[in-house]
Amino acid sequence: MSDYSEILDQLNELLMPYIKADSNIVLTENSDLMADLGLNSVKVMDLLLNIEDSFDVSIPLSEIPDVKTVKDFALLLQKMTQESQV
Amino acid sequence: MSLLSKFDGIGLEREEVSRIAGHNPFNFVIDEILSSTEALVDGKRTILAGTNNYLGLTFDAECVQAACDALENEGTGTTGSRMANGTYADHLALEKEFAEYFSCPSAILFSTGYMANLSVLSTLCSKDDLIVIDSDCHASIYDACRMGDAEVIRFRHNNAADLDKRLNRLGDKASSALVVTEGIYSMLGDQAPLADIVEIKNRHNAMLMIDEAHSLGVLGENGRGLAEQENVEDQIDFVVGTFSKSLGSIGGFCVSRWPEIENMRYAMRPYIFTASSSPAMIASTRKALAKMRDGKKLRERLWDNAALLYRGLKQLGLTVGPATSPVVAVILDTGKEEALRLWAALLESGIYVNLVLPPATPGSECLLRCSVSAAHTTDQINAVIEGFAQNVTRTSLKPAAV
Repeated sequence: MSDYSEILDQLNELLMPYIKADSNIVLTENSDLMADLGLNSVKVMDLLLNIEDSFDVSIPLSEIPDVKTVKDFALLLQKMTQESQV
Repeated sequence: MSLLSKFDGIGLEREEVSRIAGHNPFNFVIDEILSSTEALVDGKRTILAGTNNYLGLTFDAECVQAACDALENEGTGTTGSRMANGTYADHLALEKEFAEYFSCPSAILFSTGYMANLSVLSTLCSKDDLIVIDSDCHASIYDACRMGDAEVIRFRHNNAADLDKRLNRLGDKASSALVVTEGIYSMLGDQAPLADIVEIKNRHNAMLMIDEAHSLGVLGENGRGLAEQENVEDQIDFVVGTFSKSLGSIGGFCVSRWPEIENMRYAMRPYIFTASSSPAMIASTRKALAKMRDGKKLRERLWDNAALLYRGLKQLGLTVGPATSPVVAVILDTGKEEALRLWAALLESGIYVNLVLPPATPGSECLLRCSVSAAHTTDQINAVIEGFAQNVTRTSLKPAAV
């Protein structure tokens, strides 16, 4: 799977449980994972493991500091799923 | 100012922590150390139940004497790198003793346990290699990974099936992967499923490093750690560990069944560009290593104490780690304020334990982490349990369901 919009949809679904039901956060491509979604570093690491499972990839730790927004994340996943298909 | 302003948040956090606890738990001062299990804190005799001093050897008369003799005969420090003027006969003697203890051809000493991980991981694995670490590995392992050029991925904590899946994903590249696990995990005291991990790494033709920092002297008939207990020592490629827990001093080591580590020694920057351990450190460690090897009775005493504390805290209705271990972590899901209050109340009652707050904890809960020593008396362990019993009520702590 390498279609960006499909990846984005799947990613948004995985992010939903991390957003508190009573908060009024609206998830967009530009949402900042830590600042806007209020995820701390522990939650981000936990989230990563779930996302890796879902996309069947292992994300190298060195890629993580560059992932700030939902869009960054989706692009990284697009790149990784493309690589794993080669 | 702009360089330093990024620490403002830490300053605010420190103020808040001090306001709630009365003390700053991360600036805790031992005014006078009395023994391996007791200290004076604010003029009060305090039981130390969070020091990783598993065998209680810090005040062992023979270890102290050995250090004093070395200090007098060989001076206060080596003032040099192992590769220059910092190798004394005793450094080599201790390396030989570690190699013999583990039945390995070679051993390398480091100035701290942190530097053992930093040196080995950052040097052993280079650009085209992979490091596959347990997600709960110690900060020194994460830092070592950042220092090197290898690609680093994580597997779910103590989940052998997840490790297998990730090695599968790597395909042929798995044969250039180093899997990294720990014997006993420092925060919750749980042990790695080592036999399963060994089977998986063998099947994928990968290598395996185990950090026995908290299991050395603690597990195995002869105290060699989890690999000895699980009878898989001949399958482990690299063992690293520290002197600053069971051995009661400061330093680190790596032993390997691969003699090539003697060449790697000359490529490890954190090993080369630092001063070697002082003669006193080496001398007390040599003595402690011999005591640890023959320390079956110490280990029995340690495990009796661990079982007593683990059972006692569990019976209070507290949530503790998954199994009896010399690391007994009380897991608090009541938030940071309650954890700070309880930590301070315990200290007020003359009991010191480690307060661990996220992100240093495996999950998002706070921990009051106890570590047990063979040197604790039964009365001291009972006093720790009693301290929890009294203060848990006093601070109206609602423990999570066990």
